Amino acid sequence: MKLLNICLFFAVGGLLLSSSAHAVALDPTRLGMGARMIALGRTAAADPGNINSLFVNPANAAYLTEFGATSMFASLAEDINYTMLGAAKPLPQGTLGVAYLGASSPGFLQTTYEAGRVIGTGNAFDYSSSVINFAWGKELREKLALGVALKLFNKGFSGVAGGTGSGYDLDLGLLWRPRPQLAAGLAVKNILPDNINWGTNTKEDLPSAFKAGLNFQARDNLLIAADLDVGGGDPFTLHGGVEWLPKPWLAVRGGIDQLAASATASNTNLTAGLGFLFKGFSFDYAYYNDAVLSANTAHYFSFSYLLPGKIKPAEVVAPAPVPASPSQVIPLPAQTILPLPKAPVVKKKPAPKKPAAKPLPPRAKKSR
Amino acid sequence: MKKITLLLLALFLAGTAWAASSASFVSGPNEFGSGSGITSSTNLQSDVSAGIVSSGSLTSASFNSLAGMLPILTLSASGDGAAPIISNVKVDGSLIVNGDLVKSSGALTATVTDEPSGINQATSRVVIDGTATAFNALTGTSLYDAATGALTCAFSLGAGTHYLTIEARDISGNSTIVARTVAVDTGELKAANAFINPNPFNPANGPARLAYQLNGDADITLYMFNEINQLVWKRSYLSGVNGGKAGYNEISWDGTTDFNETAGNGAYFLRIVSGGRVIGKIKIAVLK
Repeated sequence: MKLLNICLFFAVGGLLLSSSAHAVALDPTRLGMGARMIALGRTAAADPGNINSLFVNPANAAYLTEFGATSMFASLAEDINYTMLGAAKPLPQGTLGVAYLGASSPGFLQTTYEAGRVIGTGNAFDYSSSVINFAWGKELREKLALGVALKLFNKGFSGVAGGTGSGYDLDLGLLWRPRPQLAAGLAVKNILPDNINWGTNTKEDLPSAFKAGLNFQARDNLLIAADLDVGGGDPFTLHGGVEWLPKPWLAVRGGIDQLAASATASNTNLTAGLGFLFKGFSFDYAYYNDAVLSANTAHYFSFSYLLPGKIKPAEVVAPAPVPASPSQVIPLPAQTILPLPKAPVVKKKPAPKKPAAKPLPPRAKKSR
Repeated sequence: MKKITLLLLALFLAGTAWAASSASFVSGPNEFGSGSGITSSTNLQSDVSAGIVSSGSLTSASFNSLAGMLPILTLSASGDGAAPIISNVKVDGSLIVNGDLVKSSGALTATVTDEPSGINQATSRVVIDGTATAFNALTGTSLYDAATGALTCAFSLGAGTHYLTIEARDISGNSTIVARTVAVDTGELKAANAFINPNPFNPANGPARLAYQLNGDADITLYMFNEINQLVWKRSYLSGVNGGKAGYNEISWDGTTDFNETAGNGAYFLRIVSGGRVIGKIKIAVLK
């Protein structure tokens, strides 16, 4: 069975790899969906059940068992502002999520060229971009989940003739959980060609790209994640992150995030973050240190909410994986009894109690 | 009666035209002219504002445009009908127009020639903020070479707006005056008037101009990021050359990124950086 899973995993991945297209348009969701993901070096290909990760690899949605909502806010170098809102709910047919990622940037100056100088005309226009992401994920077979995401894009410059474009694209994702503590994910992004149509009658492709990742719960309170991005004409880039929960309500995160800077080179950026949890609400913060330019250092903030629940385990007979972060699971009061997976409970006979040590009776004197 | 009416109408129109012409060159300190006479005052701005701009035996007046610069008023006297020619007006080797930033210390250069009379070096002069120096009184690194027409005038300016004027007169009394308003910013390094033209930019229509004015020479790196802050284009320029010199800098960008592909439609953010500090920004719209 394991061999079959592996074959299926890589066969689908290889099939998807062959659909790679070379294009130039930008998918804004590459920014990241949620401060936690960014703090972990933009790793999210394999992150089962995380409310944010299902918008990166829709197969992650399969392991979300309760309704959740999330958000993210960021301003990049005071030039462009991002807002993300998302929600997901498990349904009998699989988990369905929807997210909105919007960006806006005002103040693009119009110019003219006179007397050997570029001068401003005093007029300006604005730019905006948005993506609506519908993600669906379901456990296809034991240990293996499939996900699909439909993304609707809208971009444009206000007041510019022909300056708006719209289109759609699809992401596919797989998630394999060979062990409860280990998950491997593969997402193929933007598999459709020529899908953004502009008012200028220009068609653009969103580059197909592949995001593969591993997620390993090394200890009860320690998560290690790594992703590899390939495709889109960029050199491959690596991402890695570690999450440590010193307290049930606190997550400390760090990571590295490689970002392609040319056709042959990449920059490695450092990330860090914190997560706080309080009665189902979580607040996540991410710090992104740009290696190219310190002025590009960015801060990301997320607020999330999850109904009390827990991540669906990979195998009912296996122990449930320890929650990776406050945004994955809501700790309940100590007296609360968690709903256990429907697994056959093997009752074992209680071990016989050892008799309490008693003082030895005084040795009887042998009668001679 | 009809002839008298036409004559009066013609006189009225001529007078109106002359008034309009006079008003245009006394309206600001940059464009003005004088005839064969030269003002005795050394404060040219005061002269202009007082309307002391023309005298002598004026026979013709015309505006020329030199190298796309601002109008230059030339006044020609009778006899030698050609006024002096002032060309290549530069500061530190770069052509300047009104509003340009310049370094606090530099050199104003130009080519000043006249045919057939030749330049009168005693009455031709360079005026910087109202202080005039005759061509034949230039000393040190400042000089006028009559053989080549090369004029060099070193200057040292404080922060603020300054007026640089070259008044050229020939032996016959014809004159040409070129004036520029420049600014000196002695504050920390900055890139002012940072623009791209056109904006939005369609690479299919030819390259765009990335332009900015520096208030000093500096090593400059231009970083262009896409809307997720991913670096897509980078260029570096040494101090003192185009891209890193004080004054106007203009860089050409054909729309190709360092990923060897034409930039997609969308927003791009250019950061002008010196010493790790962002000193200017340009928001670029690419729309094909």
